[in-house]
Formats: sequence, C-alpha cells, structure tokens
Amino acid sequence: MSFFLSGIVWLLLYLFAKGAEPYHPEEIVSGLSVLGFLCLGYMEMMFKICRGFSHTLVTDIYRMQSATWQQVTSQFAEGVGMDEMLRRRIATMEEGGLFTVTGNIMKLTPRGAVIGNLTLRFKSFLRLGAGG
Amino acid sequence: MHTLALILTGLASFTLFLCVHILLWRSIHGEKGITLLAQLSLGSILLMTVIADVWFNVRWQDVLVVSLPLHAFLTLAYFHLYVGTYRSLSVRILNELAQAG
Repeated sequence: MSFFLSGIVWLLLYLFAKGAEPYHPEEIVSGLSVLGFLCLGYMEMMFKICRGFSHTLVTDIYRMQSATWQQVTSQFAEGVGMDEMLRRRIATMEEGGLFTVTGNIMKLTPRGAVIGNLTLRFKSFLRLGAGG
Repeated sequence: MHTLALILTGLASFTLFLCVHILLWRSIHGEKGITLLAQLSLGSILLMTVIADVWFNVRWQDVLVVSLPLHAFLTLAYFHLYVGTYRSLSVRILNELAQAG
C-alpha cells in the first residue's frame, strides 16, 4: 500500500517539478523503477531483521558473544527459544488461514494447499531441494 | 521509439537472466547460492547494454539510466520470490503439510 502511495507522490512531485516543460516517459520509467527497487530493498531488510532465521541467530550469538548449541536453541530470539518461535509461527500461519490445528493434527486449508503445492512445484522445477 | 527501446532492453536483460538462471539451476547439482544469481543478473545487464549499444544504436548511458533501474527492480522482485520460497520457514511448513497429504 505504502509502495503505491509513494509511487503516486513521486509522480505528482515529478509533474510539479516539470511544470510547463514536456515530460519524458523514460524519466518516469527510470524514477518509478528506482523507487520500486528501494521499496523492495527496504522490505527485504525489514523481513530479514524482523523474521529472518539466520539474522536472528547471528544477532543472538553476537549478544551472547559465544554460545553452546543448547544455549542457541533455548535462548533463540533473545530468550524466546526455538520451540516457542515455531509455535508462534504456526499460530501466525493459522491466523492467516493457511491451515487449521485440531488437537495435534494440522490440516491445510484450500488456500494453504494451493500455496504449498505451487511452492513445491517451484522448488522442484529449479531443483532446489527442501529449503527452509 | 527511443523510450520503447530502453524499456525493451531492460526487459530483455531480465528475460536473459531468467533463462540462464533456469538453465543453470536445472543442470547444476548441489548448492547454488544467491551470489551466483546476483552475478548472473549483473552479467545479463552488461551483455544487453553492449548488444543495445552495438547493434541497436541505443546509447549505453541511456541504458544505464533507464534500463538498469528497470532490470534491477525486476530482479529484486524475483529475488523476493526465490528467497521467499526457497528459504522461508513458513513455506517449508506448508510444503511438509502438502506432501503429507
């Protein structure tokens, strides 16, 4: 949403700065592409810091200076722990309507099944392995 | 016409990047990192800049100002899809559930 809003603001500013001069389409393409690149780059950075597994691990080890395997798993994400982190992720995905949890049984919703199958095909097409 | 040529150069370099990426990823076994993907992206825009300049008379300076940002934007969007699918824990959970039936 903010991406589209910033695009509209940029366009208005561009037209305002141009004034009576004729505008050039290549300038608009270039400007919007740079804006899109910066927005996506910022999104990537935010995701890495907020939800990135590897970055959280690096931050934890930096915070503890050195850590054992036990400490890393129990103190993951500043004391949250791996199990709790996984529980939270599953709760978020359940709230997002990707699957339902009844007792110990997790079952994909139709939307979750579509995403699960499409991403499996993508990984299989590029021969990526399980990933995650 | 000039604008169209610049946009097409950006799109062509992204298409070249995707094609080489798919070919390599399907033929090379083992770990293929993000660094290789970034190198492919850089190589494809450089090659398309030369091709546009030499064969289609599109100034390389214009390519750098218009086609490069377009290519970089499309490539970063693809990186989001690639990393979001391959490295995501949530996607891995969905995959495990989908495979379990």
